[in-house]
Amino acid sequence: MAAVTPKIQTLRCLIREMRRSLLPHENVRHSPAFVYMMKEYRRNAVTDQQYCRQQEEMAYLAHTCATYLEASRRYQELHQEYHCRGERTVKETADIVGFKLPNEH
Amino acid sequence: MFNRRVLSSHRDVFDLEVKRGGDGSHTMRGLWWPVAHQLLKQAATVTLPRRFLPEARRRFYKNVTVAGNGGIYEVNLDLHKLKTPKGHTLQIPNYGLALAVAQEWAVTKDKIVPSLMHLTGLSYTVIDNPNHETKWDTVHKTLEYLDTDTLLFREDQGEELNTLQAKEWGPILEWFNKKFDADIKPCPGLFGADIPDPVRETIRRYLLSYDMWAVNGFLYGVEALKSVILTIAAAERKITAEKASFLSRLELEYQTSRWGSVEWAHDLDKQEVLARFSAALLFIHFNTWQATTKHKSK
Repeated sequence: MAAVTPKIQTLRCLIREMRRSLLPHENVRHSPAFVYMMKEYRRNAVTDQQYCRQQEEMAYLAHTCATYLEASRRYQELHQEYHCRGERTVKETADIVGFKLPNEH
Repeated sequence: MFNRRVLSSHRDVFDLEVKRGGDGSHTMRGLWWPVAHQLLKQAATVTLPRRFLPEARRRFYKNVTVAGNGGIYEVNLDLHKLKTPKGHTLQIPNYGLALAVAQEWAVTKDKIVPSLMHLTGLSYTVIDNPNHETKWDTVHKTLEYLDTDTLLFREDQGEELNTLQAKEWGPILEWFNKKFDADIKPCPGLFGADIPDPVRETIRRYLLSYDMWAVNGFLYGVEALKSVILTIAAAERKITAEKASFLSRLELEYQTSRWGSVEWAHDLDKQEVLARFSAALLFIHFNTWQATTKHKSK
């Protein structure tokens, strides 16, 4: 009853994140992480209506896992987008102020 | 003049005589860097890497697998066992954690950036123990953050932020006080909170009850959020990882909600803190979570 987020939603989140990490030819269903996760979910498959401590622990763990995967992915994306361009070349810098490089004439 | 000088000892470098136009020599003390640098390099017996910003390694493996049974699991990158920086094989006591570490390696697309693999880094630290720290040392380091805990520093100018802090941080502080039988109040001013010794010892005993792996996770989490109270609350599953990192950055969130946020700085920082803290939390939970199965009698 004290579920923070519905467990199905967390499960979907986790599967989505796992799918991103795979190479294109692999199927997410065969990955050991997926197998482990489904095993744990089925083992603790009590309904949301009943309070069960171990189930709470597992739900919290799944939620933290999903958070971690999502946060590290977003960090990489942001970093890639904003901070990965490297330095400007000499030509680019000259173009900003409208100068011509000596060899260009 | 200096070309002819043979620098065979450190003394030559330290006491140089500079001849000043016939007046006699004036001893110039101090390390003359352009030349001393050469000498120190020659004298160095430890070889340090010359380049301190090496090119990141590329992904050299196709598959990441987890092998092992009982209490020891190892991560393999394409038949090559994952090893810690000191050379020990990475042996993880928990299957879920081993899978998570394998996931970190599987997610890298092209360049391997070890500083973004938080769980791997934490496992390396625990196994290698590069600073030769005992559990007590690590817990002591964690407790040092208690004096300057984020939750104890409230805004004293401006009402809005103060009420927001009281509303968000108040319940957590109350829960913490109840749990540890303490009476920690927000402290005004710049100096740290005055935590009485019995309370500190209770918290120390609580942290020492976790094993070495989880204790390292605690230190990592506390360093990410700069708050012991929030980390303990999250370890007890009272708040989620996102809520904990939001509460730790409450003032920043308040200011950005008022003045606007800059994506390449604020969002980046937010995701980094969240990634670090949720990794720490995962590390704690994987190492304290014990599953027991009760079978139905047939």
